[in-house]
Amino acid sequence: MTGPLTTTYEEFSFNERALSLAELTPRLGDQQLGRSSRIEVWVVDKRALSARDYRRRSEQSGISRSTREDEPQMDPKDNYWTKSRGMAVSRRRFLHGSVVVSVGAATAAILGCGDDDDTQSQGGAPSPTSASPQPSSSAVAAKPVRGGTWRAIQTSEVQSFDALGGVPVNATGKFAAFVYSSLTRLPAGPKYSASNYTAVPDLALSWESADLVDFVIKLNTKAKFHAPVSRALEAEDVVFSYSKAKANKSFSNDIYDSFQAIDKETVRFRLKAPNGLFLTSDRGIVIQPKEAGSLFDPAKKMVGTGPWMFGEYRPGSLVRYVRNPEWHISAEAPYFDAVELSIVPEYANGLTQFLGGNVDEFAVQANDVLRVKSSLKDVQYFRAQPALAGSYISFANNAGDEKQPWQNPLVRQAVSMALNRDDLTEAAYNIKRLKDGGIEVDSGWNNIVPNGTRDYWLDPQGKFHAKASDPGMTPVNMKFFAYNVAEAKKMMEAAGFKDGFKARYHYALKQYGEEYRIVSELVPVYLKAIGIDLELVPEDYSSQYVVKTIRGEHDGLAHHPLGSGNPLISTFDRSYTVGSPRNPGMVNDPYLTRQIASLYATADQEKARIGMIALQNYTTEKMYYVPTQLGGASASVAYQPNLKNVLDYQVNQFNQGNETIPFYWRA
Amino acid sequence: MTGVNAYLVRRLALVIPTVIGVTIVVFGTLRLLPGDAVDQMLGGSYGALTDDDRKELVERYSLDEPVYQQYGKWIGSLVRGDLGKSVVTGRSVKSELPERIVVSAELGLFAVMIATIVGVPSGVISAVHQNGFVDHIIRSSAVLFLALPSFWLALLTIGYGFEWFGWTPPLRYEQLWDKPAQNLKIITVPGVILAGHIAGITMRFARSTMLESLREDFVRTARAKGLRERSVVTRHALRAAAAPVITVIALQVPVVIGGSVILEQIFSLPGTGRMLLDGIRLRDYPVVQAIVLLSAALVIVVNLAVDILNMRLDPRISS
Repeated sequence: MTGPLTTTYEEFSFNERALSLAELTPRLGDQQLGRSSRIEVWVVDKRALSARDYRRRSEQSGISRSTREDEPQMDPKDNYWTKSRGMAVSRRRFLHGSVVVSVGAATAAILGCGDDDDTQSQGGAPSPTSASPQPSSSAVAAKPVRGGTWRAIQTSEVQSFDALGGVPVNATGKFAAFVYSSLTRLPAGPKYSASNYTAVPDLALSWESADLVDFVIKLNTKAKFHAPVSRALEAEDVVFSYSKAKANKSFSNDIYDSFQAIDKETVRFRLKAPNGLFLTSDRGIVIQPKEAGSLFDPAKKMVGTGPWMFGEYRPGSLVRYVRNPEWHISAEAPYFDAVELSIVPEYANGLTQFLGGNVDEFAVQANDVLRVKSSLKDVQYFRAQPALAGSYISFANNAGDEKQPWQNPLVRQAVSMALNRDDLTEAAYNIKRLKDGGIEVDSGWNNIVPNGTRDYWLDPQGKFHAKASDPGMTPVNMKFFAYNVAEAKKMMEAAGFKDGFKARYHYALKQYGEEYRIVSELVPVYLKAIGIDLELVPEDYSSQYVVKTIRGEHDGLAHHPLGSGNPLISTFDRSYTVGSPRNPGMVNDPYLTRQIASLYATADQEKARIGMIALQNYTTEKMYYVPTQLGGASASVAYQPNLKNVLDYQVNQFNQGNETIPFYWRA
Repeated sequence: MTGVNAYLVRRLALVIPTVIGVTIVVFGTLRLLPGDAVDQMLGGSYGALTDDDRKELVERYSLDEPVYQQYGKWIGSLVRGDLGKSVVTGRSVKSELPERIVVSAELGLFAVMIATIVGVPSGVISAVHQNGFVDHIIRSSAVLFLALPSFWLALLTIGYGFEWFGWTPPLRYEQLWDKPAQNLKIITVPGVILAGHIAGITMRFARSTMLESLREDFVRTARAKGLRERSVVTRHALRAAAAPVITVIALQVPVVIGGSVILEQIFSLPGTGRMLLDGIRLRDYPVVQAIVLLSAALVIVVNLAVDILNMRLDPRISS
């Protein structure tokens, strides 16, 4: 029988000052790590450590095993350090001191000209990888043709055009992205993976930070606000925008302590805590002119520095933008003269519009992919990571009541082993049918980081590695993902639940689409096999799920989607930080809390990436959340045949208006 | 005061407590729903807002005031003609409604017009040819219209309309006075679908009242006088049957309002129905309250108008 292992995991410490064991040990105090434990601290100093170094240290240190009365002792053969591929950090220079990004190289990177590996981020970005081989547009080399209108659909109404006005960012961001710019942007182009989360300069020309808390940012004063403001960007605009966002709670992640304009072109930011993602992955908010609210009403009109100028808004019907000929990022782009976003809430209507040639792009559900392919010759499909990139099962009050069966990790691991992930993916995404129809579909087992976020994903099957040197899933942890009902039953018995138990199981109705519903409703079928009898509790999204369940105020189990984005923010911080409104399992694990803080505290995004991959071994063993298969296969975004650059210029999240659409054109 | 005037005064006097009752029901029902606009913001912020943020936002939007106080404020603003500001967008509800009302009103009127043009004559024909082949066809059609949900018909129309005819719904709405031809193209299909249900009810009721009317003594007298059958039916029997038929058509106003919500969503029509759905989803109380109150007021006014019309049409009622 495979029992839970209590393994000693590495502490990430990227800070200049090494944390001593004495400083760390008193902070433990958490019985989840056992009554007696010793944590080995690897201080990552300027010299990068090789895998051999790690193995030697582990052998020399004589790591003691933490013990709990209800957990079996670890098998020495299954020691994390002896079995895993270790933390074979490549010999890149650990970032230390000031960070400067050159303007010229950054501009070249943005335009996609030349080799820009050195300029993607301070520490060097992971090399671009694609989740699946994508047919490259043969017309990338062709000269773009100016003119025409990009036509797309939005399914939800404009709540407000003021992205800093307090309305949730997801409701305004997709409209604001066309007109506004941020301090940095995600680069798009043939060289970049769609799951790249390393940003490049936009309104921020360069920045310096000695400690990842204080940032001095030089602004790109070539950026000019549209009429009626019609002037260059100033530092006061940045301070105005961030102050307004803070006052209106418009941040998706409020990491900011203060902002100050030093001179017309320079801004100082002070963060609440060291944050290596700021500017390198977290683009920040959109920048409005300081005249917003006095010269124009930002809730009704948008005036920014982006590639498009606000044209027209017909409530419930249409938003129109026109090309900005003075866009500071590119002298030639945007190539389209205008953008029209038609508001079409109903999927069937939107699909018909696409088939009829009335719109240029459409997110096609899995069941309609073949139909579109047969109706529209030469349709271009981009296999995208879905916006709802992953999902997981949470357990009520994880850190609380000991009487709840799932307080025992054996039960949580058994739940994971009872799920047939291949079948779940097939049921939701019809992969076989799509493949038989000649559609390539990329799929994989989600870890707590979804499989579509390939650069950060630890493959539970141990097959995929973004880089050969990346850490892999330990064989022991792989077992917790493998479908093994017999073993899961034994674990349930060992946990004292031979006959299973009953529980309620919550999930949102309608909000998250058909794939989410399918996966949600199949989970109880699988858990029944190991004696867990779930009572389905489908909940109205607005009145119940988003108000209570997603915040952890539920009994039993619940099924939640995960968004895409840099996993440090969208997965680890949200789901594991104590007090986070999106920590539905109310996880309180000091080790995780420390690792998350350490990952934030490094500017070296490559190290952080590797750290996030390695951390998934820990989260697998603990299984506070059981990953499921929403987003288990790639989604399909369809484009009209006569469009160019659409397959090569792709980013995740809703900044397409700023980062990709300006580079599309129609032959 | 004459009998008619007294009747009208009594009816108008009843409007006031009816409207008050509607405001209480609308206001109270919304507050019974779990969650409020701030909760929606919490959910939509992907966990960025904390409980302290929530408290601050609740105070900002006066959602922490006692319910009776919120109700009193709302009634006070209604009396001043102020429908409030959207909690979500910050925009004045009154400024947004007129354009939306025009769209929904056009759809509703179009549907009622089609339903009347189709339903009344077919009901009359069905009654005249009672138990004949034509009667069976018309009655079966009416049952079909009544049975088929309008949203299902709408989705089928969109799907098969493209597959068979290459037709797609017009992508954006144009006003009748801007581009009348385009506007009619937009309204026609959803209007006909919405009309189907009403036409079914109208036909059934018209048939029923015509059958009663055709059995009346005055109709026998008219035939005995040697009048042509067409004259008997249209000038005598139909006139007597008109009042109840008009009443039934008017009673379909709530059906039209309800049906238009779904059809506006499916055909992307920017009417009050869609605005209402978004408002409910986002717990935007001022928007929902305003639209529901206006809808209730419309029903009340239409019923009053029908009563007055019936009095004109049928002297027996006014006496």
